Amino acid sequence: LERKVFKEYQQHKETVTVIKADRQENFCVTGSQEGQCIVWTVKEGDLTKKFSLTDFESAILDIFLLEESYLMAVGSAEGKVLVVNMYTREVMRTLHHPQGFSVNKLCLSLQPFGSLLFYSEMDGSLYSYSVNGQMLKHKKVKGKKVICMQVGIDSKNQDFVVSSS
Amino acid sequence: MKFLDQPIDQTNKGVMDLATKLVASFMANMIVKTSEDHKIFYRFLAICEKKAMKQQERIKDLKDLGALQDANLEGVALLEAMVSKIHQTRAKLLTAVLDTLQKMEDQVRFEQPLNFHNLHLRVVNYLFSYIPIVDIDARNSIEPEEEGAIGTPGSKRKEVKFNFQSRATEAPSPKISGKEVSPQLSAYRMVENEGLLDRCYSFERSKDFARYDEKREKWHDEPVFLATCRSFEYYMRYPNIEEFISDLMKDKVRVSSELLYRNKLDKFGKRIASNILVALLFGIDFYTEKRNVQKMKEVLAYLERLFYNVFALNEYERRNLTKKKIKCLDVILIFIMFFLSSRKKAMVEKKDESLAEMIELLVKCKDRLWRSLLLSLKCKIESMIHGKESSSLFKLITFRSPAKVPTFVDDFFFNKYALFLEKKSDFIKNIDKYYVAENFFQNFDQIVEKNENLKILIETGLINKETNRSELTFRGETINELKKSVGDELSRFNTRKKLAQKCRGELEEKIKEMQADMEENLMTSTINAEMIQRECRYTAHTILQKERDVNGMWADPNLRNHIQWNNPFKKEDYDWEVLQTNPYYKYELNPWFSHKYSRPFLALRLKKYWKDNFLEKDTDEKENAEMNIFDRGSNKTRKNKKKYVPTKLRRNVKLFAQRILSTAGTAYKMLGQEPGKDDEEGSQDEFRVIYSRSCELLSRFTIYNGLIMVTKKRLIFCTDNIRSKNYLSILNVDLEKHDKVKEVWNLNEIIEIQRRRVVQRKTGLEIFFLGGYSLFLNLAPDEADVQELHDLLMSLRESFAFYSPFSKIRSTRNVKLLEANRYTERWMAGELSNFHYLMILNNYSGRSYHDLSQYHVFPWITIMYKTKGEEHCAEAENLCDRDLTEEEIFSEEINPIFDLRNLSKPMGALGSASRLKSFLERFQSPDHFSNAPAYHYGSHYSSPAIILHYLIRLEPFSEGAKAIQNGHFDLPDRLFFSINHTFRNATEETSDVRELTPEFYSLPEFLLNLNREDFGVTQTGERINNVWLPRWAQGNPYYFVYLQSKILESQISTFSLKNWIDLIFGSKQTGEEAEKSFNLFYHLTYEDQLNLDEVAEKDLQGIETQVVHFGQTPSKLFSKPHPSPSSLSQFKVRSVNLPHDNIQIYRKKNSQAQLESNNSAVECNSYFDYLSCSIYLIASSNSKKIAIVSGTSIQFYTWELTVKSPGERPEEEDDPGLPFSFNRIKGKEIPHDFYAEQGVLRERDPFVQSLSHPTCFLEENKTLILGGYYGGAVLAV
Repeated sequence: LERKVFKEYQQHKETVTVIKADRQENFCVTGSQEGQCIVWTVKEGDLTKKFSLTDFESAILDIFLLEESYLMAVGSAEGKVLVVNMYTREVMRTLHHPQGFSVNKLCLSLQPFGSLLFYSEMDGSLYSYSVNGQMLKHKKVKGKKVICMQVGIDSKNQDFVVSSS
Repeated sequence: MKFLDQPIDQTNKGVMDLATKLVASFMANMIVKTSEDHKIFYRFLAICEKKAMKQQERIKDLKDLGALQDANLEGVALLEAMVSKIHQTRAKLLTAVLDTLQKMEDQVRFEQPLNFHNLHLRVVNYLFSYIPIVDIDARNSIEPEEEGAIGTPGSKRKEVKFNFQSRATEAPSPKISGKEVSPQLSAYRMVENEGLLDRCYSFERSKDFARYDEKREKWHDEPVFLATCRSFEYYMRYPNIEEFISDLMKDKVRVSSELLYRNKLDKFGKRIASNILVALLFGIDFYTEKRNVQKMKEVLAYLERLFYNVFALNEYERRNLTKKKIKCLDVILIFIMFFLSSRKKAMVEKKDESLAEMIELLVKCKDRLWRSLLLSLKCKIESMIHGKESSSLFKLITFRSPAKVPTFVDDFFFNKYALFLEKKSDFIKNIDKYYVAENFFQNFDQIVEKNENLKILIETGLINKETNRSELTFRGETINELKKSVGDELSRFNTRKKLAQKCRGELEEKIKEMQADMEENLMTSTINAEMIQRECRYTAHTILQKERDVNGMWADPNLRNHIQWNNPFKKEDYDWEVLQTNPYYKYELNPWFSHKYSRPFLALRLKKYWKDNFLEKDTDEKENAEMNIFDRGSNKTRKNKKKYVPTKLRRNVKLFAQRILSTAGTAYKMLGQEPGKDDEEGSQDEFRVIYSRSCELLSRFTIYNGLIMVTKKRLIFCTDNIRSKNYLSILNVDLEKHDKVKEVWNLNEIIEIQRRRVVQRKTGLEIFFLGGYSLFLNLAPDEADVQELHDLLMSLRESFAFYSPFSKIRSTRNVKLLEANRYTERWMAGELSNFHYLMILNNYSGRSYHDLSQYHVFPWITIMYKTKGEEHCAEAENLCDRDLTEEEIFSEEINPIFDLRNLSKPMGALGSASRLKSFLERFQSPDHFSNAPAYHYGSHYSSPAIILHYLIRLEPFSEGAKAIQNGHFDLPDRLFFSINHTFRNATEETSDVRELTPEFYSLPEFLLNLNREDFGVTQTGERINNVWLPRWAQGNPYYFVYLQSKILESQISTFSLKNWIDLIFGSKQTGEEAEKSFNLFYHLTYEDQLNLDEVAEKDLQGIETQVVHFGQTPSKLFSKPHPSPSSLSQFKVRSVNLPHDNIQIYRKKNSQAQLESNNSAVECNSYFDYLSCSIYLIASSNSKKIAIVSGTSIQFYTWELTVKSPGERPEEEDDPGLPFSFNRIKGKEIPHDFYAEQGVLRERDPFVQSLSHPTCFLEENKTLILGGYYGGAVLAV
């Protein structure tokens, strides 16, 4: 089985750094090094541009899709986090890293109240904010680098499933 | 041009003044199309004409008196020549100027790049080449003294000729025969007569642009105007345009913008603005040509400010302006938009191409504005026709220019009618003669008696009666002949008359048709104009917001919904004295809701700063009346509406809908949202209205009356009125000027449709859309219509093949939907959280965020005031974590901190025994005054007042709370300030049985007074600010909500929740069961207890208001007792918030959580110690695959779960941490370097290796989307 490039999408100006798609393959979101973030609609493996976000000035490092609520959270190297409604394009919230460091990984959860968790490699810390901007908790991850995060909920509380390498 | 080449002489000032004034007025005229500007021009012309007339009179007088000598004859000829010349030049001037203006307009219209500089010069040039007129006039004014002195005609003629041709070149010393007369002087005199120059200079001296006369409280108009002239003079006088611009910028923009503010866009201020705008645009042109970016940016900055001023005023001042002025503002707006776009073009060079999108928008907007302007112009003309009560063709014809007549009146009819009129007048003239002759012949005697001259002749015998008679008989013959010919003529005429009448009849019919057409057109075009204008304003508004967001002086982070507190929550930070509020924004609840129907987001709303400062309360009813174009009598009572909805109105509505849809069509065209050109036949069909009906839209606290329309792909709602007026809405609001009157939704975005009750009628429909918004419609009073619309939407919705999570269940009953979606089963199996399940139940029982009388209801979960101190918090958390046995749950000893509320009892039954007793007494004592069924409680557990009480700290609820209390908050002691206090009230007062709202489990911010509203001080002297929380919450609302949620999801509550569901949604809601469990409310709150159609009309409004304010009980969802959740599983823990329903966390006691997946494409790059690798799980139906993306290639592995079944412990053979085993799939490696279409090798950017590798697997690994290549390419492999 040989793979061939059957289509090339040239919308970004610089290297694409993040690609995420939702589980139902309705959306695909790409982020690039110069800070452009494009939302594509996917139809039978084919992408069509839906809209782009130009709010960032430096590389986009992580995108989190909260699919069932049609939200996406985008984190960039300038320390900016945007929560965007993927259908209406509305920017629901902007947050900044308190020291302006890069946001490398992030997670969004709406249970029990909206909260945003992000990790910055530069200070090696995890920050959790309420979705309305109140800092909830700040924790340093010692000696390890977080490469993936998931937020899970069981019946009783909210667990951060954090793995590091 | 030749005049401009000359240095402008100081002595030429008068002329210059006039000219600059003209130019200014023309420039202004071009931008601001007010008729006043024409006046100056015409005054100028009038002066010319007057002077010419005087000259002619003088010549005539001289001729009459014979005072002219031969020597002067030539002088007279000269004068005559001059007069004719004056006329000629006048005509030329007019045509030239008009020509130029036409060109300018054309240029604007066809969007060629505007070169104002050239155009301006052209106008000036034209004017200047005809300036000698003024001089001649001036000279003529001193003609009398000159008269005698004219010696040699030849020389004079030469000189005069010379004067004509190049007056300005010889400006300082024109010699006109013997005496040296300075034409400048006379020109000055003329200008002085008008008093312009003096004022001009005095104004210049005063160094104030517009002086404010405090006594008269009025701005001096003239100086302001002159100042604009001055600015243009400056422009012409400065040899260097840079100086001019910098001069302009220094003070004039500032002053003018101030002026704009203070003067509230007075016409002169506006003119100044436009003039300066033009001047600065020259500057922009200039600097862009010179590529002086720095300077350009300076000018831009000033311009931006000016634009913003104009824009802001434009937005908020429109109400005060007349139609004409609005039009002017539109033109200004066009220029602004044009400018912005051109500016963007200039700015976009290499990197800023991301702004290209915005430019598109701007250009589009400019287009639309221009269109709206044209439309409004057209509208105006039509309204003028309409207003003139013109029934006759003539008026129409005269009104329209003759060239346009044939387009709607046939030439034939027009000619016929003209002919007829001519003949008629002819005939009337002749017929007089004929009738006179006939009379003379028949009644000679009588005539003689009457005619004294004849009498005298007869008496004196000069005429014999007999002879006369013979003569007369002879004459009679001739008369007979005449008569005959007249008869012929008459008959001929009669036929013509008939023809004419016929023509006329036809004409009249034609006119009637035309008028009807015109009315129709007018109606449509006004609606269209209104709509398009609103669309334009909306776009302009959003564009401005975007513009502010992206760059410029308004790049405010707040505009992107930025809220942040970077310190962990401290109670003290939110104290009344400490808390700093945002000066520009208020926090309001974002209507967006998540898939679990919670509303977690706050939004920022701009405070009404502009309005407060710049907008006076306008009570201009006329303006409003004009806006109420969609009003179809919605202020009539419902009863009246009901009468004619099915017949007359529906017919009207369909007509109306067609019209609106045509608008919608054009609007889509403008937006470029047409579905594509290939199916043009289909597109017409798409915009056809399939269904339309008048209805009500419930939104927050307001009910809008309007029209709902359904086309094949869209759902459209049009409001009737700019001002909502419905006695059932809590707040009646006016639409903002930039709010759309029409809202459009795509049908393919519908997720679900649910039935609702509105004021106990089953006429509501809530439509949920993708993206987290919903639409609440009320199709009162006919329930069948709801069914019709529901069915229609369902069938239309199903025609979309495109995937969406729309449920395929065709049922229209909420109860059946609930059953079909298996929510109860899923909850019992632990797939849904308690919160989610309660929200679902709320939704299906008709609760909605849009209707405060049916807001979502949630139970109190703890007995709040039973606290034992903060140190027990950890215990509380532990309690929730512990897995309890059923015995433990129902035993009373387990809870160390707070008692759980007994969920099997309603709030009324929770308090003391005496309280319950009083309720029972009420139930048992019959009410003698009405035949209402007995009830326990006089109040309800959820009503608008309670919702507003709880959510008073957030907009828009604080606004609503004020509205129901006549504009201010309720007394401080009655507000919601303490949860313990409220709970105590709800369990101890006999008038209070309230439950909670979902916000208590999902939105901590509603407990904080973020807007710093002044709620006052209680009687005990404590300020009401943030809500006082129970002690165990440590004063932290986030912790409080977290704990609340935890308790709600805990096993204890999970097991007892079914009892509460029975009380509110289930079997214990009504009937005997309800009586047993003390759960009967006032009968009006229940479904099916009230038939509003049978209520007398006079009582209707009262009962409806009562129902709305009292609150409504949810619809009954379960007739049997709700089943219990399944037994406690050790492994299956409740729902998971991973973006995948199929992922479940298998969790053993005291062990680490592990992930298991069976159908997923979720990135899960964890567990592996690969350096710079990402691991993806691949969605696949049969095999379990995993992909590892490293720096060079993608490798695939299969994996297997080594755990046999959820119940068993994983076999820990090789790797104790991993319950999986892996096998590499060979031959399926994909290298990262791909050749693009032209054979270009795509290179990977090493930057991405430090991150996760941007890869995406679609369609079960059939398609790979790869990023990370240089140049930003995204490859589909």
